Amino acid sequence: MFVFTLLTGSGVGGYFNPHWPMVGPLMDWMTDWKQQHADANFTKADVRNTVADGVDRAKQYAADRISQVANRNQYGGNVVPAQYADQNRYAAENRQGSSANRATDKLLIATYNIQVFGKSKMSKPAVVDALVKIVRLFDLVAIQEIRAQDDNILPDFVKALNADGSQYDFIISPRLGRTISTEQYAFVFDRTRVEYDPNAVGTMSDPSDMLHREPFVARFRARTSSPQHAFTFWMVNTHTDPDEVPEEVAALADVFEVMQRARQDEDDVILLGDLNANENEMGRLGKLPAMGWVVRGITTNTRRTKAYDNILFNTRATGEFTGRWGVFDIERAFGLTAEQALDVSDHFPVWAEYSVWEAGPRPTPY
Amino acid sequence: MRDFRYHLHSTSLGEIRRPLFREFGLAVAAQKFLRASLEQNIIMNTQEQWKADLASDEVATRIAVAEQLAKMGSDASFAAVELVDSCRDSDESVRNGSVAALESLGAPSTETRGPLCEQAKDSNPLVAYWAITLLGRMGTEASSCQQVLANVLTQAAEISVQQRAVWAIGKIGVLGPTTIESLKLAAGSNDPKLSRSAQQILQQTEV
Repeated sequence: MFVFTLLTGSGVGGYFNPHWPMVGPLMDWMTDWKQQHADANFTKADVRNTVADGVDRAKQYAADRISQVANRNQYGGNVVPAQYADQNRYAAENRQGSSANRATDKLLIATYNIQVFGKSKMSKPAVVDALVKIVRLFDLVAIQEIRAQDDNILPDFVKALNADGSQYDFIISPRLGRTISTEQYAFVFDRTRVEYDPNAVGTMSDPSDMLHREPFVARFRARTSSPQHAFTFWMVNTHTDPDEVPEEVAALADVFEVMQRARQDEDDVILLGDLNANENEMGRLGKLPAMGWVVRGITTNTRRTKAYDNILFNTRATGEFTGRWGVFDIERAFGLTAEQALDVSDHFPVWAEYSVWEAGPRPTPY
Repeated sequence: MRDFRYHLHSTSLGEIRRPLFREFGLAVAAQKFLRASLEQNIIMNTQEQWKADLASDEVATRIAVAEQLAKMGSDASFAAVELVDSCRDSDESVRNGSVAALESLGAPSTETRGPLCEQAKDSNPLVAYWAITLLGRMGTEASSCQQVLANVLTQAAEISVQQRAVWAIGKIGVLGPTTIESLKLAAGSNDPKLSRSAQQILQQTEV
């Protein structure tokens, strides 16, 4: 009898083990009920009514669950109305919705894995709408996971991006990957804020096949009134294989060092993307001299379970970093449900802010 | 008189509290059981439906279910075998959704070991690649598939499949004599990754 009461949570069993999976919730419920009915003068009839209420609640709960699961069975996430965001809330919370509203002396650089960005995603107006709003927040976005045989995916997206008069442009990598399921990287940038050097764009050479996808690199310069003093930098866009993270992150250390030596007149290398590694998994890459990364102690995936994405640079060389960075939580910012946020991507964008003025290398301390 | 009052008081507590706890407890336990059974039943039915929908004649249905599974992370592991099969789908969006789901579902249950072992031999390189990847994620649990992986390593036409087979063998760990022979062959390959990975495993096992 004692074992029965312990397992079911009935009687005094609950007091012996209030954390027992079945007992804990029961005890909470009973405690709440008793608190809500502190003045109750119990009679047997009251008790029966209370139990009957509880049964009704359980029936209602079961009915709700059936309804929820039934909706899920119809792939509800894909047929939700196009009303993604509460516009007023979005406007209030995002003061940097267009280039006109961004600080002119700062560059906002972001990395964003738009999970399987292809035909299907582009066919969903609500998703495109959300992506447009996201990219317009930044001056330069490194995008991962463009997966499409159609070459018009990114041009069509940039067309949507510029529908409000914005002047975004893009550069895109070849299709990369070891299997037939290849993907492309891209840099999408606001032409009024940054420009790229057409002679300094390409994929890294990887003759030893260390990386599933060779990083995509390009050199950018902030557009300022004084180009010779403008911040110039390499962007190294990367997406590691989730099954070979330690090896690939170690190889990225070599990538970073190669890019640091690529040009004598360029000391700023910003390596960013989906590393599938958190701050404690940076391995050899994290041990490079003065290496720093922005994302610490926070998750970057939409399920809020992992820190996959990051922005890394040499903290001594890249003194242009203002210290401001963030993970843009589209679920909260746009008032989306978790399901709707996952429709957009299973990652959140990660961003960092830099001065538009070249700082030059920081003096080595002592 | 005082004793009598005390007696009355304790009696009333006994009459009210004990039935209260007992009835509450039994009712809630019954509700929990009912709720759990219902949920389990609904989830099982839904999962079976989704698996079936991945093979639907309707492309839109296949796309929808593959993309839905891609949003579920490790919760999609129940459909691991079906997702691997969907990698051969004629529609690009179904393949992309399936690959995205496979990337994030982690290690599948050991019940899928047999079917995955069969799929590892598939002539479609993407199907074989993902079946092998899932076996590798299982680690030592997939050791019964080691022979299959050793064969794939020497016989697969696609280098990406061979590379993944070496990786999976490395994850499985314990090496049989046939596997060691296959690894030695792979270590002499012209492909740098295949050769490097095979050599690393052989060194680790001190062969």
